[in-house]
Amino acid sequence: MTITPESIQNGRALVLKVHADSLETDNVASFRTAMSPLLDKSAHFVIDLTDVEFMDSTGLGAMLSCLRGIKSKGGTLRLCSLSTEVKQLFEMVMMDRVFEIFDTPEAALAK
Amino acid sequence: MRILVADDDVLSAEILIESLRSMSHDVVFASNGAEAWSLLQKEPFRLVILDWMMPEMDGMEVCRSIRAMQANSYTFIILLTGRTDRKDRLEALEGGADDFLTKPLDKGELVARLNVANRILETEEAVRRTNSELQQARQKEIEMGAAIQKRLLYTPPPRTTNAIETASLSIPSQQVDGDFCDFFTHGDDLVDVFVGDVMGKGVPAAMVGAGVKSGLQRCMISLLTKTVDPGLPDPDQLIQSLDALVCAELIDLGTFLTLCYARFDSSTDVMTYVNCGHPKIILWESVTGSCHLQDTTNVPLGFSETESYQQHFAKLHPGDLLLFYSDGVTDLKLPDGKRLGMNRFAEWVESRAHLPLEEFLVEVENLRKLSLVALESGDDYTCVAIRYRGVETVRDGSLRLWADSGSLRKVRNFVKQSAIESQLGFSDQEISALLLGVQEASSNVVRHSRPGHKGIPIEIRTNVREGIFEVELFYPGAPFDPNDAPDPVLDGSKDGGFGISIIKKCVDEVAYRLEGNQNLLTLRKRANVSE
Repeated sequence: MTITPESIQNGRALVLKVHADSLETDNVASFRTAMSPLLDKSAHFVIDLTDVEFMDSTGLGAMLSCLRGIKSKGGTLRLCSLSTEVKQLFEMVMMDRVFEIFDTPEAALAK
Repeated sequence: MRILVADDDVLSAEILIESLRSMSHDVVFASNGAEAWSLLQKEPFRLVILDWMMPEMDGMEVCRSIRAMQANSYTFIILLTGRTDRKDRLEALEGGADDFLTKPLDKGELVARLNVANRILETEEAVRRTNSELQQARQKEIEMGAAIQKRLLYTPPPRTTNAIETASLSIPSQQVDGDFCDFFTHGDDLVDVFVGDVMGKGVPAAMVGAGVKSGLQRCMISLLTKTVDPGLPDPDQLIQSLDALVCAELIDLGTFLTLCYARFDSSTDVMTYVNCGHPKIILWESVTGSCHLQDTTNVPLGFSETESYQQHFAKLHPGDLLLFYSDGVTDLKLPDGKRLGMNRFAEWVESRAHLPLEEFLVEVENLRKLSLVALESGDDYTCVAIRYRGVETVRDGSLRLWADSGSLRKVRNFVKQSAIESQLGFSDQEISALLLGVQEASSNVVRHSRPGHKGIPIEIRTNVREGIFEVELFYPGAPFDPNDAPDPVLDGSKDGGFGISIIKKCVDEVAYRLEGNQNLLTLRKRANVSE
């Protein structure tokens, strides 16, 4: 799995785009590996999930661990461009209350 | 020639040295035996002339020390003596002296003795060269034999086909052996794998192995293309025809070989095999998690021209592990001093068979390192491991597969296809919820039903009953009722624990029960038909 840092806009947040059609049990280890060096590059992040059509609870767990890591260093993590399926998962376990979720990267950066 | 002269009588030494130098020899002088011995330890001399009577170490002592020393080339020793006593001379010859020079020195005798020494040293040199050439030729033969074995004899099966996944390990012995393996693939769902071992060692065994292997290929081709009733021969027909081709020759050559031939057919989930005296195939059943040794069916090839070859059958399930191995494995001596043997090897396999094949073979390799390898037998150590995958497609509305985390996508695709085909009118959102539920359920099964195992055989059936779509998940291992699971923590402080609650929210009903020796988890989802 690759995750590309798209840009730092307004000198604020680093947008990270996840290039994978799913984030699940099968590939969560490679997500963590790809994520780990990027977490030092900024304090504020937006993860762009446009390509991710499917996520399971293991994928969700990896997102939560990113969120806790970033918050513990005083940073922020926002998510954007969730597919209907992925949004459904977040709502199901009420993680839409734990994460700040936006429709587009621009919206996530604007606030 | 470079000559060492040792004599404590300086005057007599000078005469000798002068004579030798006049004959263009290069002379090194030692004034006593001890000095001579210390020079000899630093540099080898082909010819040594020693005075018998010397202080510290006399000529005989130096002579004995030279003979006791391990040297690459021969040292010719002449003792310088005034003694003419027969008994003394016999004793000197016994002690390793080659010749004598009488004091006072006679130049004519010296020349004659040196000629003798030279002749003997040249002969010795020629013999040594021939020996070394022979040794090199022998080494080359061993290397060629090893190359023959590697290139011609050992052709491991393809790593993946539709029916099977394979990996193999081969550690050759110091000598060349006649172990061989090869395969035939007949389309996507049918693969034959065979392994054999020729009695004896060395290039002859390797050549017999190569001959039998090509014989087997010839038999296969001739049976496939014969005019009356052509077609793929059964393993027993093939081995019978191989036997007709090679048995008489093997008996003539005074050799025989063990051979195990197995066919994997994923359209019937059956392994058909003929085992001619080879170590028994180990079958690890993924469903029960236990090993079974498959019976040997016949005597080795080359034993009897009247042998009638029988094939046996074994029913396979996705995830089953089959092992073909040489007796180099079962002949291992364990640290307790006992031979490993087939039964103990099967027990050993039982607790490791679930591992991915490569990891499993690393364990097999480590087993050898931990064991007291029986050096005197020095057998080849080979093991071909086969994971039966079966056909991972819909059959009678069910998908059976060896499920590891990498195969969950196949499970989702299967359920998605069935849900669409059910014509219950599920919305996209309902289908995605269903798939999420199935994903959580099957990844739970893979992770938790057999602790430590990275894969598990599961069967997924989908049914439609009275407007309800039902997904049944059959799997072995620890019983677990998701209805007993605790509620998840929803404040973001925990990464896991959501799975069960997600399953319950994704479908309308979750049911669990034991079905025979398997677990059965059923997810039911009602189509939300708008009135």
